[in-house]
Amino acid sequence: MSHPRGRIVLLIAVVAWLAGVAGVRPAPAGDTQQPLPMSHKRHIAKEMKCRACHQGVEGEALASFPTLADCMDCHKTPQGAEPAEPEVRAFAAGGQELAWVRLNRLPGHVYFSHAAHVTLASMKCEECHRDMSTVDQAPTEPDVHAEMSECVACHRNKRANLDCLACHK
Amino acid sequence: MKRDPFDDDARDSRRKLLAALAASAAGAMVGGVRAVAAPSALPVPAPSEPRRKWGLVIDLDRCARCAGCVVACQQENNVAPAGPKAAARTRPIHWMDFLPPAPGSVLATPIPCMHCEDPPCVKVCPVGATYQSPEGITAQIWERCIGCRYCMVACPYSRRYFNWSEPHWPGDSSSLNPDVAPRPRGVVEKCTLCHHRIRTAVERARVDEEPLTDEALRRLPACAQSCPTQAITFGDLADPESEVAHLAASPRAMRLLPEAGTRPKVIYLRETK
Repeated sequence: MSHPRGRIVLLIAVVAWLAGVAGVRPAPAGDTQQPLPMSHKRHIAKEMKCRACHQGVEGEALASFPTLADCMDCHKTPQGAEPAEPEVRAFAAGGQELAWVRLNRLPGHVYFSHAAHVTLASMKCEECHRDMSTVDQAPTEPDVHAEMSECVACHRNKRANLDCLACHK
Repeated sequence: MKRDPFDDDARDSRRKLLAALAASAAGAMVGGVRAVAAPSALPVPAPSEPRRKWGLVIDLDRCARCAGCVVACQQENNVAPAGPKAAARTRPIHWMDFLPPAPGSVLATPIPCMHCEDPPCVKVCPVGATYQSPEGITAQIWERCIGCRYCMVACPYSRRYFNWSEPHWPGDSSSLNPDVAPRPRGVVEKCTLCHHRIRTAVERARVDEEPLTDEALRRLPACAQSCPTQAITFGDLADPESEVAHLAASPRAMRLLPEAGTRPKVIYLRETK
């Protein structure tokens, strides 16, 4: 029972269904735009600590992003000879707040506290995040891809809380 | 002894231990020798801070039956309103609800999960989605629940609810509490004793290196915080100095369905008649 035209129509229908209904679409391009070309490498080379800009990391669940006021604490006057450096003052002149794009996002049913890990467990940022001292820009890709098994392995090794409710909400 | 639910090695050694016990029991039957228990292979956890036992005391003589706790709980825990259709099918979800008045009485009873010492719901869960936390909370991990509803049948207080539909909030849902994950369709949900608030309070105290005082805990859950007559008190039942421990020792104290043997950690106060 061969009917070439019927088969082609069927094929087109299946492809159209896959593309439309089943949601098969090209992978999104890495088009994340951060508001400033902020170089982690240059900041870390100046002996700056992560917590200088990500201030929530020691006392809050969320490691915050720097506000424009935090940047202007140092960048009110020109710092170094980097050609992109004046951009921060140009941005400040625009009167808008920095809208950093959050890249690492927790699943909705997971609770994670930076304070518990950084302050109480004395963990270093690099134990979960990548080494930022070589990154010459504001990141555009998430860098933490932790699985539950990794969390559990570390919690077990360090005799940390293994209660489900410690991390799930 | 504390069990590590994720420890495959421990699970193996438990299996070996059971096998050894079975073998020695068989040997004992054959040879008439008493079986000697093999030493446990499980590691003994380091002594940590004293174990807390969270509990709730509800003073029915103070309760004004205003249902503020019901509303506060709903709001705090992202419980979606059922709507008239689902309500007509008796499907609304209320982690904190009111029991209808007993015959001869006009007064209803606010009833959250009893957080039993011996919770029947935990025993029947086939997938380990509900369990008793080391601090005595009957917890449920929504992602693990397969929606079989055995726990709803097992609970003598009917304090568990099934999600018959995806949660829907009319209008803007951006005011949801980010500390509590909304439950999808097909899972059972229940009161967590506002565990997210307890977790934050405990962590806050440790980070600030300050003791977690009973005063800071008494009104911690949303129901207790919202109660205008302060009829609901929360705290650590294992701490003899805590307000809840004092209240639980009151001659007015009683528990719901004591004959069920569940030993609730929600204790009611009422002048006996």
